[in-house]
Amino acid sequence: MILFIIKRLLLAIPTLFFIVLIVFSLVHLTPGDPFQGEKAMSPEVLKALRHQYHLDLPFWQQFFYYINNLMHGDFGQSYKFIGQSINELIFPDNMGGFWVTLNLSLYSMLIIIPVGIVLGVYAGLYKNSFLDKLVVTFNVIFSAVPTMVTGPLLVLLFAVTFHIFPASGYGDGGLYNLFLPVMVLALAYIPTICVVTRGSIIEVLNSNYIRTARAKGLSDRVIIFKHAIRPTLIPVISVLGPMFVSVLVGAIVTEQVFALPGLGILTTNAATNRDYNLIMAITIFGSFLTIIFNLLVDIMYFVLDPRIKK
Amino acid sequence: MVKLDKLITDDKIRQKSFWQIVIIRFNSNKLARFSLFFIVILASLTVIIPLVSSYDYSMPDFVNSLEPPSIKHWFGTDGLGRDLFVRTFIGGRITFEIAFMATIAVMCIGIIYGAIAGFVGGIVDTLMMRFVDILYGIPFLFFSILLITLFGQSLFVSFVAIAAISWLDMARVVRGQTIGLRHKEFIEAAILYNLPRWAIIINHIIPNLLGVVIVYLALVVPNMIVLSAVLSFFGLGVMEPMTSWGVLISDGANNMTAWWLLLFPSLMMITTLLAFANIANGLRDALDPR
Repeated sequence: MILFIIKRLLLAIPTLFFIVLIVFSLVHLTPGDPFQGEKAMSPEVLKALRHQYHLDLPFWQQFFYYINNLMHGDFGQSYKFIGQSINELIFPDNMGGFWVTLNLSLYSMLIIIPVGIVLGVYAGLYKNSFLDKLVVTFNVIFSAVPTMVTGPLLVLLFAVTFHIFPASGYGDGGLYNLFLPVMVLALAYIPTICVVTRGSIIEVLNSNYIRTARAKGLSDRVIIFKHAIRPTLIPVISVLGPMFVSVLVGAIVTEQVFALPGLGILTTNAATNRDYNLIMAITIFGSFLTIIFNLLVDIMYFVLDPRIKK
Repeated sequence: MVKLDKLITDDKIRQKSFWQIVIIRFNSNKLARFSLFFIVILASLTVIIPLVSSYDYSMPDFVNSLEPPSIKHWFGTDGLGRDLFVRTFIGGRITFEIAFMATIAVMCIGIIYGAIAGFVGGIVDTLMMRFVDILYGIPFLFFSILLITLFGQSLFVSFVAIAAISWLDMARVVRGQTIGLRHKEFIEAAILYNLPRWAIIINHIIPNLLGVVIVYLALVVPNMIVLSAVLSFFGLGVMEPMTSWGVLISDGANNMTAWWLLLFPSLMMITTLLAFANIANGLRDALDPR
């Protein structure tokens, strides 16, 4: 068990290293200077700035500085707001930045996982019933239509036409403000869970040990809740890791729609200001999360499915 | 030479090629056939309507700004008084252009990369697939935003950025298929025949991958549409006065009192995406009936 985790960790580190290398090279080897085209700077100031950001050093030394800072958990300084630490932008003390995105994603996952599983199990148990067809249609529609379309449409319906929920803003981060964004994310990602669960339970119910359980004369309730649920959930867990990352990314898009002060607005500002260091930091942070979640899912998989243990 | 195919009229005896069977199966799925028809019509309309319409997509007409839908302006007008109907269709044209160009790029990179990795195998395969794994670790949205900020905002760059991150799945799928094909008799015969590797890949491997690739393409195109639209929400879409569905929707989302600005482009995009989902479904059933 511990050996498995260590092995996976050792594999994750070079992956992360190469991601940093690729992103860093892309940013630093493309022509153009981050301070070019700024308001007229005297050569001395420019030189001092370039020195402050280590831009006067050869590529490999710059990379070394960057990696060294990263290992100390420091993303460096923003190119746009000179001297502003990127860590403070992404993880501010008050609510904002990544915390908003995380909050939104967590609320959404709290709805997505149970609703997706319950709907999927029901649809699978009552295969080809009206309910099943309804769920399948729902899945087809909402896995095709992205958050950036459902978001504004829900705002148009619930906020502008019926004035039930606010159209935008974070407020105190309570349910009233976050209801619509969470709904948007839930609609977009419930199908992922639901489809996997439905397929999984249909397969499980047709397997040999369920037939054995039925032959023993166990009641349907015991078969479903005691024997069928656990193996059904294993494939569901394998999609949770990639899904949490896509919910985070989806949350960033949703933030744009609802004007929430999260990573989304940070990314937009960084893109319009050409703040390479900030985009680089957000990209690397996102990759880090992706790898961590995949690792967690692998470990959970390992715990839940005894067949992998050998 | 007698053409047997023409003489034998009994359908049961007459041999049908793989692709003929696929077309028949696809056509039997009414929803998928209708969706394909819809997409073809819509794509043609995005070319024709801006040409024949009496309104220009870029000419401001401040007198008629923000008019609700009427007989004169079917979809209403935007803040600069431009006809939304024409703009929706020209936006559709740009959206389709980006999506199809990116899809072609994804297809070429994915097929070549996957086929080489799968066919050559060994250490080359391991290294090539490790590279794919590494790129998988980068969240696609940030990566494309990074690329666009680095290389400047243009139609070409946004399509390259979208393609650059979307070929990974294709490469994986193609590699898997290629490994399955590598030990088939006809490939071994080609190897014994001393054909160069590239010739085997181009003449024998790739044609046999097309089934999987086509199903996959039907999934890639809508993804590209969504991705290009998402980028517009981050202010990285096409530039004014040109437009795309993403730009129209994000403009509409910023001006909700004029509901038509949001509703019509959204409906267009939703129907298009659903049509593609149906086509993908139909193709999968037609090419791979379990």
